[in-house]
Amino acid sequence: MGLAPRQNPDGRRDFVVTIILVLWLAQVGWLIWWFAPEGQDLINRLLTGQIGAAIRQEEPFSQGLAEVQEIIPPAATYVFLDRYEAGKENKARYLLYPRRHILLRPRIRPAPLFDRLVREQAEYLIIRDGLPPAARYYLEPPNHPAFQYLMESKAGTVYVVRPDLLVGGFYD
Amino acid sequence: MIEGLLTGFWLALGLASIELVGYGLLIVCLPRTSGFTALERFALGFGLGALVLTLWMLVLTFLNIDFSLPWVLGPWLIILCPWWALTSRRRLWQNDLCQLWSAARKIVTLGYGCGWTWRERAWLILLLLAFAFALLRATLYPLWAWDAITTWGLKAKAFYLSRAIDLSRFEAHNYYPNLVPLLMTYIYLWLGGVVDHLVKAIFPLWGGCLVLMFYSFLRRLPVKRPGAWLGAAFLVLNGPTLITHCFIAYADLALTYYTLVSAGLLFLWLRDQAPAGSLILVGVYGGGMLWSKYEGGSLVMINFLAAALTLLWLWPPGRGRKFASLAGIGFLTLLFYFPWRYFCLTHQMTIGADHVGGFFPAQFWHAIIYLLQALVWPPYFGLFWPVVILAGVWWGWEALYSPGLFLVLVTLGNLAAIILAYAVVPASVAEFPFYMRATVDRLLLHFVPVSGLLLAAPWAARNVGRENMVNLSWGCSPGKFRKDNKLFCHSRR
Repeated sequence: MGLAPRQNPDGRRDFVVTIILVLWLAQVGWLIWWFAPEGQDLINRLLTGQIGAAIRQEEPFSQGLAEVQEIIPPAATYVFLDRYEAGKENKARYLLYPRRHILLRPRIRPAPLFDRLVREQAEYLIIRDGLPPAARYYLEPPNHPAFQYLMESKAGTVYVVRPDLLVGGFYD
Repeated sequence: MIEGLLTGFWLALGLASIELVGYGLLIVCLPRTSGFTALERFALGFGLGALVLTLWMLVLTFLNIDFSLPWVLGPWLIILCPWWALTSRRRLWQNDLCQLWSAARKIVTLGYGCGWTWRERAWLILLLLAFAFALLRATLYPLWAWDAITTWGLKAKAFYLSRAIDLSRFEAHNYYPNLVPLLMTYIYLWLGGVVDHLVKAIFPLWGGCLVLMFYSFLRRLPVKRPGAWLGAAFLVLNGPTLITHCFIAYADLALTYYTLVSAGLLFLWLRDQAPAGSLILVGVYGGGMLWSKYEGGSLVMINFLAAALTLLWLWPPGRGRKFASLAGIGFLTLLFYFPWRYFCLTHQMTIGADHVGGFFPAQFWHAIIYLLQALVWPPYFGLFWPVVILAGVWWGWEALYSPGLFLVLVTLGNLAAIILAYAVVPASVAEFPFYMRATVDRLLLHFVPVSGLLLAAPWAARNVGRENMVNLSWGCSPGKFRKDNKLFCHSRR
């Protein structure tokens, strides 16, 4: 009694604060490691002057979209076949705006595809991801006069569509 | 080279004009003796400027007037210029300029010659490095993050090209509020085109204002300057989430900023420490929450509900007047919701169908487990949540008998709201985990700074303990409160 060291709440609190601070500083070190690749890329770009829109043009998909942009007029509507999850379709929609963008699944059957092309009066079809053979059959000349192959870009295969010629006669 | 400099000049002018409008309105509308510091007025100004300019752009769309700089900015300059010229106001903003210049000089020189400790300098250097990185990362790279190009950036481009809020050519959560896209459109007007890398300069600036407000709130609570700098560094440099949102064009940073200002001022008001005019700002910045993101509605509701419950529990003197003020400010906030709601109604837009399905119990339990994991998962917020929880536990009993209860309720309320949001979202079994993984950090971010104010409690108590001060509202015991019948005791600085 009387010999036991007295508890010092302030000291205990300081100890906890010190532990937290040390852990946090270690975490800051980890954060620097986390952002290091981005920081390195940033410094490289500052040194080379490769910044802004030039960065986007390094990506093949964006290069392809730049080619497509020159072909499709701003007021036109196009159907883009892709999976939303791939993260390409939203880039196409953003970069090709104000062109109207209709997204359809790549495994779409011919009838709903043609129906949508007619309803939306779409003048272009871009296929980033493969179509099932049944639908692809109609796109191969001279199987259907409504589709005209235009180009193979890095954004996908581009067709010109004449919706007025899609008057039926196709079956799933 | 000259073209690049000129573009930078227009960008700087565009950003400065947002600040000028907001700051000018604060100078004109707040009482001259409001007690806000120059730094606070600066940090508040950017948010207010962004809010009024973008709401005005919505009004211009109603009036069928195309967006152009003279129409968007002109009326505000015409309204504000005569006020600035008035002698009393002129003295105020001249004083503020001097103070801001002095603060900027201290920050740039890291407080040399001003008695700053090496620790303060270290925290400041960390903050400056973080924001320098965010600024460069924002302005050198084009829009790339998912929602930035899918929703916010796309809308900004569409609004700029059509010079109006035209949602006819795409479907990108069209019912979402448009503060961020319209602000980007406003900068495009200054830049003269869709320069989607420079426009992102908005975000680090906004992040900077957020940190300044957090620092100011800590100083008012009262945390000493070194502690407040450390607190600000702790907020920013805990996990990559906040820094990342300072360079991607998402609306979450804006919502976080408005939430901090609205809830922080409400908290000061509950402590009877709010500068004059704060309560109006609570309403206006609550409006900013509603106008920046769909989730803003639930955050606003939680703020007001937490404040009302705190008043009910503490039952302070003059409670009738306080409840009436709270209701009035709630109504003011609601007014900000109507213009966009009216726009949605007149354009036959369905609101929230993609976020609210039925109640799915499996998702509810899954969400609880995932949220608990997210709170301690370092790649989201580092040590932030564990330390906040520790601070809450440390301070637990006292918090129940002080206005700090408000912060606890806001934190718990928002956590509950996230779980509920996940429980009602219409998602397939396969999609649901991905949905949570993609959104949980953002949903937590919205109230991270407000919950961060909880850290000030033990901190301030620690300072007080060292100075042998008693009866701080943060530190005094429930018994003391009851005995003195002084539930809302003021802190002594």
